[in-house]
Amino acid sequence: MHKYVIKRLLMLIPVILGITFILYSIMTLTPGDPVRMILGDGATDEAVEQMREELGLNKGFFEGYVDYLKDAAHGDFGKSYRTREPVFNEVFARFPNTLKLASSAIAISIILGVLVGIIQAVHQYSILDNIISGITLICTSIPDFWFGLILIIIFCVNLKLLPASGSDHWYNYVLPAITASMGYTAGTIRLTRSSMLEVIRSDYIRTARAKGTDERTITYRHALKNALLPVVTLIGINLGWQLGGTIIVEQIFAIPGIGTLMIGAVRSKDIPLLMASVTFVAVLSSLINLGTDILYAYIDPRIKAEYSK
Amino acid sequence: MSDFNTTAVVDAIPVHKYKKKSQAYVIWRRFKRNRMAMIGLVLFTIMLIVAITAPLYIDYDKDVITQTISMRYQGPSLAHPFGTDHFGRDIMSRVLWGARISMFVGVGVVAISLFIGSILGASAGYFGGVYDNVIMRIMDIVLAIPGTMLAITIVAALGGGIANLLLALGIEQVPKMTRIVRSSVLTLKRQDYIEAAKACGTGNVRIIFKHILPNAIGPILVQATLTVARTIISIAGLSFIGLGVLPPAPEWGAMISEAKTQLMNYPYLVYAPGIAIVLTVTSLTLIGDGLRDALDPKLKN
Amino acid sequence: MKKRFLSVLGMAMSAVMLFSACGGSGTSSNTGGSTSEPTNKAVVTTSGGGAEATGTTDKDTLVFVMNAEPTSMEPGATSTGDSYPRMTNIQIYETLLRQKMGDKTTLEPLLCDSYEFSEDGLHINFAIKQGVKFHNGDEMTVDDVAYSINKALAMPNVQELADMIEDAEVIDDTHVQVNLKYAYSPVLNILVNPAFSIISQKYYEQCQADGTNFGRNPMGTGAYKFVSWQNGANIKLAANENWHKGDVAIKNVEFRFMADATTAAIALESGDSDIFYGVDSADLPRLRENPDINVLSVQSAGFYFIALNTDGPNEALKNDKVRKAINMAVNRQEIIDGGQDGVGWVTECPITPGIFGYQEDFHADPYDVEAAKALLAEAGYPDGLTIQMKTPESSYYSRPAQVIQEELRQIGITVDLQVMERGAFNTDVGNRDYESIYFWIGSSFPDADNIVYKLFHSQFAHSGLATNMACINSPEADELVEKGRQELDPDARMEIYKQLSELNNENAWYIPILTSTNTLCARNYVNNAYGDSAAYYYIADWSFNRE
Repeated sequence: MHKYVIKRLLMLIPVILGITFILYSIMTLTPGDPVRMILGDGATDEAVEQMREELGLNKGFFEGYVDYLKDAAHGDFGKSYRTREPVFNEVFARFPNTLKLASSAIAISIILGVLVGIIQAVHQYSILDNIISGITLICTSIPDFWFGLILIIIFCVNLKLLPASGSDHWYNYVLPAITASMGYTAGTIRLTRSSMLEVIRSDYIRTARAKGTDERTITYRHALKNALLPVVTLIGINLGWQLGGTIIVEQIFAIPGIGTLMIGAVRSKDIPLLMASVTFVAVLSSLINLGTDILYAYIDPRIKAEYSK
Repeated sequence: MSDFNTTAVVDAIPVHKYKKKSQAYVIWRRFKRNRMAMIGLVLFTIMLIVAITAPLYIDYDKDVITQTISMRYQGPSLAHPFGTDHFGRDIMSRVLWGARISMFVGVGVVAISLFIGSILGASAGYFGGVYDNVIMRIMDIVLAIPGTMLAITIVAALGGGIANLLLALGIEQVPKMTRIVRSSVLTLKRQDYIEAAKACGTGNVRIIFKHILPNAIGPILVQATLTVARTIISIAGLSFIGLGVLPPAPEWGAMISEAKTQLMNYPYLVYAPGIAIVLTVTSLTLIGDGLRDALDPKLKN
Repeated sequence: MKKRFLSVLGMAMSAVMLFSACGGSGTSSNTGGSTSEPTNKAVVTTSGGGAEATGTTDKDTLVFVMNAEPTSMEPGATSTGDSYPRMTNIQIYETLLRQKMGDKTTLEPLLCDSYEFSEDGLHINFAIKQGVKFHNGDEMTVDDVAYSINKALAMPNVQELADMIEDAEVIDDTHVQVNLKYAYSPVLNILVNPAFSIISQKYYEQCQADGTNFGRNPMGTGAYKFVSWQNGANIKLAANENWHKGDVAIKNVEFRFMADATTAAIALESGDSDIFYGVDSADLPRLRENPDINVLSVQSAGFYFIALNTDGPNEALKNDKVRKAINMAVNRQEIIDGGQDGVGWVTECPITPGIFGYQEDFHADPYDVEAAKALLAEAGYPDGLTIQMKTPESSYYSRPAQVIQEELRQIGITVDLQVMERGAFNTDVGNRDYESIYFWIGSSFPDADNIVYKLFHSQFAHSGLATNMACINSPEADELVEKGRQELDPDARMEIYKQLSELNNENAWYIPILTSTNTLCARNYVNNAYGDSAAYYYIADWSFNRE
């Protein structure tokens, strides 16, 4: 187990190198000049040159990347071209907002997803089952920005129940979290339902039934525990994806999170900021996935046995 | 999956065609029994026909892109069942034509990612060893970048347009395809009939393309169907933040994005393209789920 | 199984109906928006668990929403034409002079008591106001003034704006002299630009020494002190109790950044915010009808135009008949209606309406599709041609450009429209890598020279500034521009700019299209809020209406 964890952690190194190199290549080799972007229209050639020098953009392709890695190895990931702030200051300033959004979205998807999934499995083939299946199907097909805008119209404009924007209070996160969780909730419902059904058909449940255990105990004591195993993995994966995947939701609700930061960085060709924020998200979601795997091993002894081999 | 591998074992040349047909037939029969999947298939077929035949009843120049500024924001009527947009263009014509674009990009992305993913995944799975390791680590790296972010970065760097969208979304999907093909190949390559082919001296390339990939088609098909569905949403998302198909092309996501500013004043603008997306994606999801069930009957009882 | 199908179908139907229902009520939001302000606040407060207990009556924070975030609050560190840092900076810092409230053509002293031009117009002697304190309590000295101006002149961003200013020097304990390279009468307007804000030399050098980012920790003499800057979310300011001009009515200001204009408009309608800058033209009619909201629109300081690269890769555009055909193919009102929701003014001469030199009675060649087609045939393109057009990705550019694309299609010109990311667009403009562009030019101060010098003078055609975007190399245009710069008689200057407008129309280098608005939307309880073409909004002028 320890060996496995260490191996997984070591694998982060090539991942970090790879991501930074991919992003560096895309941003450096394609047209568009961050300096012209900062200086705006009608900047003189001399002014552009002066700023290129300041930002260290006059280096060759490989020289620039190697220098970046050297500095990064010393813990210096550079400064944002636009704000001149150390990049991780920017990332950490934004991260709490994304974390709040992602974790509340995940919380909604777990609670709603597992609950509805169980209800569906217990009432398989009923009208309720069909209706929920229909809703979940549609939920996976609705583009999130469309859904978000419609929520804004209903709750902010017509009902005046919630503010359309902001990030200071918990109620600012209600609509964004619902929007962001929609697809994941649908996924969790579907997975819970199918894995519940699979477990219900397994031998030990049949045995329990044969012994005369009542349905409620079977469902919640015996079946649920095992049915939730795949759901745990899904939650881990979802949380990882959410951290980097709330970009569009953040845009609609004007939440100053990592997604907004990354979009801004791409648009202004702020290379150090983009590399730092994407790498941060990627490493974090890798760690979450690793955490999920470890957790999984603890819940399911069979898996643990596999790792120790 | 095990059941049709065994049929493949009896893959003797004379009965070859017959056997293949029957295998597909079995899957089709299972698929047909799934009512939801059939609804999806019918829905999708209709949309496909609409997309293909659109030029027969819609004149692109006249109906789709010609602006009539005096006819802006006309609500739904007989002449314009879905109303007109901010340039006075008929939304119905644009939505119908948009099916061509969305499906083209969706299928194109799958084709690209399938092509690259099959080559990488099949060779990685088949040859194994260091080669496999290197390919899969590269895929892990690409996969570690949030998908939307990768696509945004590529499109923002290269500019909008269908070609760049295909490239960006295609690259985003390659790792997933590679993984799926690889894992199918891994299970298949240990099968007896592959060993037999090897023993007969069949070349590696021939084994991969002639004997392994056709048998791995099931999970690939499922993934492909779902990828088309996701891609249609992804294009819409990219268009929403202004990184999509170039104007005046009537892509659904771009239409919603253009209508977004008018959502408060003329909400009907977003209905047709939005519903078109939901219908297409739903139909593809139903087909994908149906296929998965039909291919792997263990899941259904 | 049949039942299952029906239930799913039913679901789909009801989902569609649900959306129709929300949409329908969306249209009637005007009536909803007219509920009185306190009610709105109360609703928000209850849902928020009483986190914000302040009502309107003792409201002391102004929430100012804008649709983009400044990148730095260091004077001169951002583009001098950028209105976002301008809106924040003019609250914190002050310049020697400012625009008079509600009258952008008149300047009034701010950090100086008076000023005097030398006979030759090459020196301006400022009597610096005494007793002004920085936010940290230090007294502002003449050294700070000279230092700030010289520091600004060295910034890359400022060089283009102020190339006529040589330097600033301290004369005595109360006087600073600004020296010019050549006499230039609108120079005072340039000194109003927040790039020339007065900062504390001591504080700036201290920041440099200990590695503090000055642009994120600004300090000046202005009516408001910097409190905090939450990246991507907001900038908070508090009133400066020791302000040299007395007390301000609004005690706290929060600048809030919201990229999505529709969401931001909704926030204003629901009372989440008090001021909104950056409204989308689609939301304007609705906000105008809302009795709780004042829409303060003024003509913006610049105009949108098509520039045809006369020295670019497309040979056809070197032919003046082709250019004239394009000039006749554009229907400006249609572009305003279709591209800007009817918000804007037709602009036919290459000078922004409302500034000195604008030709009110001037008309470009009228819209005439047949004549344009005939010209195109005459030029040797009876079957039409393809030209590439680049434009930045904001909807202010891309939507009108799409109407232009369609209008040119009517005369047989296929426009390959490339909507580009801003940085890439700027790079291509800098490198002259385009056949045509749809773009905007603004004036830093209300005088035609500020625009036509940049647009027409051949010195900007191939090197240096990328502002002569049609790449004109015309001695005739150069002569007119230079004459306009040196002439002092207003009537004679008007005549010069008329000739220049005619010259441009004959050659169709630039095709001016429209002038947009610069709009500030304010809740009606904000007193004195005003529109300004260059976003000089001094919050110290404003107050809350207390009922």
